[in-house]
Amino acid sequence: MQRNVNNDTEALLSDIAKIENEPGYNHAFLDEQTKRMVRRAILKAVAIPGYQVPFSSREMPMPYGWGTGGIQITASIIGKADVLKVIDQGADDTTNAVSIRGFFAKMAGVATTEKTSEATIIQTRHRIPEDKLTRAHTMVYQVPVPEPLRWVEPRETETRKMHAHSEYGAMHVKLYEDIARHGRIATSFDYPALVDGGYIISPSPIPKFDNPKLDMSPALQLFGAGREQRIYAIPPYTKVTSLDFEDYPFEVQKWEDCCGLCGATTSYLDEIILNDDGDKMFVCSDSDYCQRRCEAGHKGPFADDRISDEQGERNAS
Amino acid sequence: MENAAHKRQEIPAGSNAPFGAGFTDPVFDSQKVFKIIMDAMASPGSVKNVDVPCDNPAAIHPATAAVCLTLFDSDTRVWLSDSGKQLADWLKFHCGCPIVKNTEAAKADFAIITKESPFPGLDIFPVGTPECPDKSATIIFEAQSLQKGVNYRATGPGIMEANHFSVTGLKGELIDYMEGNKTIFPMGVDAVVTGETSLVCLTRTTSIRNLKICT
Repeated sequence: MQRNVNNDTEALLSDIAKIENEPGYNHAFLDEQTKRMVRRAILKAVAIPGYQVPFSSREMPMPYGWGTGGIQITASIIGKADVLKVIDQGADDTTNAVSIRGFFAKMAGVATTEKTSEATIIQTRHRIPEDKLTRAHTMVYQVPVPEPLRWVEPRETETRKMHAHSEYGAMHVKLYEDIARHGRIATSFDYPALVDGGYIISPSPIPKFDNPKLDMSPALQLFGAGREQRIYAIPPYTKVTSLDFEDYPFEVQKWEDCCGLCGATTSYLDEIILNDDGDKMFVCSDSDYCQRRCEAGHKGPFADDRISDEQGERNAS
Repeated sequence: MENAAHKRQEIPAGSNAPFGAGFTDPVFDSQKVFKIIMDAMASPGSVKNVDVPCDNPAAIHPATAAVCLTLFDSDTRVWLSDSGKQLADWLKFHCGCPIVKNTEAAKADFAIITKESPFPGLDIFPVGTPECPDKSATIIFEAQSLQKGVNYRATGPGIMEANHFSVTGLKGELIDYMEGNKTIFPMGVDAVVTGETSLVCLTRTTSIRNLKICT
């Protein structure tokens, strides 16, 4: 049922007009009263940057941990004209991404895409695309644990007070313990960030490589935690600072290798073990970015080992 | 498409059809209007056109009516500056929202301050608590028009450099109030200012300057 966008705008529009969502269900699965509740929470979240607004999260037809918070946000904001992209660890073709895309293609009858530039809503599990986002994008993050202070203070009543009084010393102590133990800040994902000098947020488990992209992003960024029942947001063009120390400034991951397929040196790379001898290669985690670079003729050291889809199917069968 | 057939009209006071038509297509029209409000909230001070038709009672602008139909339901307590029966009945019929009494403004989730009413002083509305700043009111504040008039410049989160907007018939106290509102962050109220068929949002983090004084 998945529909990919083609370049012909007219054909696209008539395609959209023809698409109906699954009979027997409301547009985008949720009932209207639930959508209004989520929408009101989103508005307060946008008005108070970084503050976690409680909302009464619904049961979704998939388990917690699969992005039920993100799905409820997407369902509440998505309209007929939207084009949805879903990524899981940067990739468009993993189980989580494919099922969520299929869910909305079926339940909302919207067009879906794998191209960052064509999308209006990008629901993401733990990455921000390598391409520059624009004001036309809305990012929807799936968040497992929205409370950055939870590992420091287990009581919700206390973390609320800590946020209310910007009492964030404990967070710095946590980072300091990293330095004492490892000689550097070893936190590499879900790296705490301060939004507009006010609230500290958990940017969902994106790698800290992506933290600088949160800062002054032209896209509206919405975060949904279904199990923990929280929604928070970073409005466009908002200052987001990753916590650090004067003598241990914030740093992102770097690799000595380049992407094995497209040769990119500036993207976030995943390590792939190739055989029992421990040979390995690195590839871009953003599959759309890597694909486009390959098509444009960029080549990494493993580019010639790449197998076509046809070959892959033959090998599999 | 299907909306083209429906022309927006104002329901006069004392009309035989006191409720008029709500959204033609409640699901998609409210989604469209919500997207407009969300974009406006994410970019305070930028004027957005609400191009989704619905009938509005004479007491409020079409844009205000669209916001009500989009956000109100039985879970939202609404405070009205207008004591007329038509608006309260219209809201009850279309949204089913409880209307809070004049003296109970501190319990309101939303407030509508209509174009004809005097400025009630916004201190009566809830601003939330330091722990729960979201338990605060959203004020829908009607001006005459957002096309021309006094020029304001808004800065803050959501805004690249500055957003400019013009308002006619906005009671100046609102801007003063919103400036004071900023100082109690994270508590505070958020405002949606409407004029005819457009709206502009001002959040608790927005700095607003009157350009005449500024320059």
